Amino acid sequence: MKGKKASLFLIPSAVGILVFYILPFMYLLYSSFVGDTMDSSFAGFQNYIELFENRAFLTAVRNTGAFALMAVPLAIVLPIIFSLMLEEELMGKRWFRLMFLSPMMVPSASIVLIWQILFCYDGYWARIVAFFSGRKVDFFHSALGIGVILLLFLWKNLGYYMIIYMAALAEVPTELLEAAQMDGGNKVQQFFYIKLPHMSPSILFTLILTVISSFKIFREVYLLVGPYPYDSMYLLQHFINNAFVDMNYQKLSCVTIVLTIVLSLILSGLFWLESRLGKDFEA
Amino acid sequence: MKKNIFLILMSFVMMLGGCGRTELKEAEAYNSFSKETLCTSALTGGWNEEIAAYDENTCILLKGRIVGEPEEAVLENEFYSMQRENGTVEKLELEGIKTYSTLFSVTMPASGGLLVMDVLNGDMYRYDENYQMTGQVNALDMDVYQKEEMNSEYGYEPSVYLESDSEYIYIYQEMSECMKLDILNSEMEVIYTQKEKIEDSVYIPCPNLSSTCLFARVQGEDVLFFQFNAEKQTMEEVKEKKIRGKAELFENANKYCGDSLYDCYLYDNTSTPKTEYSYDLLGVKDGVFYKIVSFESMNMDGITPYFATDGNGGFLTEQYEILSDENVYVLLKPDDVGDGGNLKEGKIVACIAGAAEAEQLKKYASAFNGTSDKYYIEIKDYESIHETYEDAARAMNLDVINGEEIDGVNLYQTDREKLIVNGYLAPLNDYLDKSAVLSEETIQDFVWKCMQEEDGMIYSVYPEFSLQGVLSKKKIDFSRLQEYADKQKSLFFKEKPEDLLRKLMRFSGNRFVDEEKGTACFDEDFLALLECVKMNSVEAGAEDDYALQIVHGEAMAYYETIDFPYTYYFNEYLFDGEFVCGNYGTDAPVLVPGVLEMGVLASSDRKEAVYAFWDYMFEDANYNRDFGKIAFPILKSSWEEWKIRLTATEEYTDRYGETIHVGDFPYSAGGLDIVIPPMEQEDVGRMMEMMQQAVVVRPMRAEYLQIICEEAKGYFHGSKSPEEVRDNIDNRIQNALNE
Repeated sequence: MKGKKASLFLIPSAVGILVFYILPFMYLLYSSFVGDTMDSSFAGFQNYIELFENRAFLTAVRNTGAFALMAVPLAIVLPIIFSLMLEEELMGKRWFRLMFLSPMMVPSASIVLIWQILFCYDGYWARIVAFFSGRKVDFFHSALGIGVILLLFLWKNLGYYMIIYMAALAEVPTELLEAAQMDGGNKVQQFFYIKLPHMSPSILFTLILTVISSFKIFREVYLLVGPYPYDSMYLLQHFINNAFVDMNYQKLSCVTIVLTIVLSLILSGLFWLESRLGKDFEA
Repeated sequence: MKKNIFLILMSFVMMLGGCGRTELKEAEAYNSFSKETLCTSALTGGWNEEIAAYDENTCILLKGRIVGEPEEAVLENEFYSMQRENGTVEKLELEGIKTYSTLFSVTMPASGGLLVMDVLNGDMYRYDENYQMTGQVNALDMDVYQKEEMNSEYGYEPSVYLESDSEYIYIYQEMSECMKLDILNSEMEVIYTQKEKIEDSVYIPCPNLSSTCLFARVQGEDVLFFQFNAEKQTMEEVKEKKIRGKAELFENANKYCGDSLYDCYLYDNTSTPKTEYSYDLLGVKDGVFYKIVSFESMNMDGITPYFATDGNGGFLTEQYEILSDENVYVLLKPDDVGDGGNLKEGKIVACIAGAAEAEQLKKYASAFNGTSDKYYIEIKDYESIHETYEDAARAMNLDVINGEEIDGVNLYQTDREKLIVNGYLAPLNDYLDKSAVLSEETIQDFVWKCMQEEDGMIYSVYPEFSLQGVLSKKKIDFSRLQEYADKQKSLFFKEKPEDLLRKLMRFSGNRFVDEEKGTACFDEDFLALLECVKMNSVEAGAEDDYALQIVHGEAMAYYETIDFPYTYYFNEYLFDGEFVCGNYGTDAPVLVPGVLEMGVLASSDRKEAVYAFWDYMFEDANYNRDFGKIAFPILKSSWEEWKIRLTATEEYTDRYGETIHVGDFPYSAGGLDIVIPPMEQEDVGRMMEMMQQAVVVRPMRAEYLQIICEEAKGYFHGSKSPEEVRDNIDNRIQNALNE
């Protein structure tokens, strides 16, 4: 009886999930198997085959994959290092913290403006590189473009991840650290044997966030280089956005389904990892 | 204690309510209207007419027109009375009234008779029920500035409003430095005068057929109402009539005399972009707005701002019919059981979405709906509710792909090709095979050819078209542009390089970007083009008069849209008798459909309604009255009409009974003013020959053009080499093509 009553209270949420998540997703799935927008004829896997033959899609997958492989480790490791630094009694510690957090407060359009000033063909970085190498570098029209996006991604997100890690570090019991210190454990040992295990839930949380956002980075890149950038900066979200603008719902549905499956697999792996590490930590 | 708390809470809630804004409510008095055409203006052709004054039974119509040669032109006026019940019109001979070169303000006092003010000399005349003069007085006090303005060559039109009720006469005038209100008694003696310099202090008369006149005064966002107290000689506020927070709407709308039902009526047909109240007749009662009727939903949004209540819920309005060029007086009667002017009932209703020229489409739809027994066309107007055409088109595209109830679509600014490629537009070949109005036989051959896609399918029709291309005296070899640049000081008219490049690339077909093959080829020719454009261009803000540059020999060619025959003639003049029109990659003029290019959605199951509408629109008489007159028409019949019109040397009456004036037309373009005489047969022949060469080249996708112009700036501004620019364009466009 209790269970039945409880499930009654779940109905509003279940309806919400059904209407706003499951049904639209089912429609998307249906669209991906439809040949024509107007006559809705069944096309089997034709749309998926065409998608995997699409050179722009493959470029986007390659660039997004490369970006995620670079961005995820850096977005995990760098904030840990910075949060450990800020944990120490440094001069101007408050200013450093503010400096790292400031990108979160700045609107995307302003961030992009700053990046354009820094990295455009006549920008500061191009001049610095030209001064040392004698050759101008066109960041937005070369393979270095992905590096610019990576920097932008890190610059924008480091502050947020740092807050999470600093909160996790604050939760580490001081008695454990004092005991380790008395037993002769150095800073590195303290980090790896005490702090890191305590931080692991936060690390996994940021890992999930980073993976998702690395696949979905778009707004700043779009503002920076538009819908059709140089091929080194062409990401999956460009492909998705352009399919939408081109009114190609089939392509849009297919790529969304593929992206959802890939991200679900990665996230499932991460959740499995989280549950394993969580158990280890508790043990 | 509890009661006290309740009272405090209630008073707080009421206080909040009191601070709120005036709400708009549906009218409570009646729900629907029947529409009856009372009378059609018999006086057209140069006459303007208005409902100048009215009471419950009669309307005074004032007609005016300018007569005589421009230097000696005078204004001629005539007065008519119209019986509201049956529309009987009678011309009035009003003693004392000068009917030439003056302006009038008129009112019908509740005590009977008529008051007419000659605004230019300030004389006011009083007439009895039989329109016999019973008095005359000079009642207008014009200041020196007004008099000077009136005598100036520009002709000053003083703003003077004459109103009345059963007791008083009100004269309100906007003077050069102040506003003035005079109140006169029935003997036409001034009993109260108020002059105000500040606009917020002015009392504007709001007369009423069944009670004394109210005076409105705007205060911030509110409108206050006052009544004249003759004993105290002051204005006293009528607090319950205060309008809260809607001063802007009140000020912008046309205001009409109230009656026993409403304090006054408002109608806004001027706001751009449209507001939520546009084309709605609003009644104002005790500070509350009531929506009485939507003229738009009754297909009467073309009404002019003349309107008269009969005091019993009925209204007389004046509607201008563009197709017949007539004023129609329409009586709207409250009718709870009628269809309220709803012409939709029992018909198949189809919707045409439009992001441009919706007003013109609406006029045609309105006329069509009045004649068709089977179909009703609704125009979904995106243009008026969005800031730009692009925004309107984007919203419309989304509705189209989201399966909104849209049957036809106006393709201006839409992604036409995307709609076709993704199967949203239905082929029209079957319709065009059967239509008696639009078919291969009726449409000009070269237009018919241009309407077809490569596979022979036709997805859109349009009433008019223009030709675009580079105009020059001699043919330009676009593959050897660099040679021209070397020899001549300037090949093209000098303008911003990005603008020129965009024009040249727009109709370059698959010369550089081949969408079908998915390849981009920016070769040496493109480099030459970049160089040539750079050499032939100037920075923004520099001298940019194309006509003078061509005449002075500073430029050989320029890019132009020829959208009607006089533009063609002007270019003949500019290039000493003849010229050629070409485009990069095609060497021929490109035919560009007009703004009203329309298609039908494949998903529509009411296609036949849209086709019936097109048949009506393109019907000989309808089409030739409008489209065939101005731009290049697509129908053969209209073109024959053009030939006669362009070559006529004497005034004549066309086959629709319209007088066609001929002669020398002044034409200005760039820095040149010329006079265009009737064309010779040879000119018309040459123009036709050029048209027959026209080809249709689908414009390069806006995204590609954007990439090209964006990257080319690097070269034009000197920071990159043409090769670098070329490589960057190639990389980005190839990537876009891969999609």
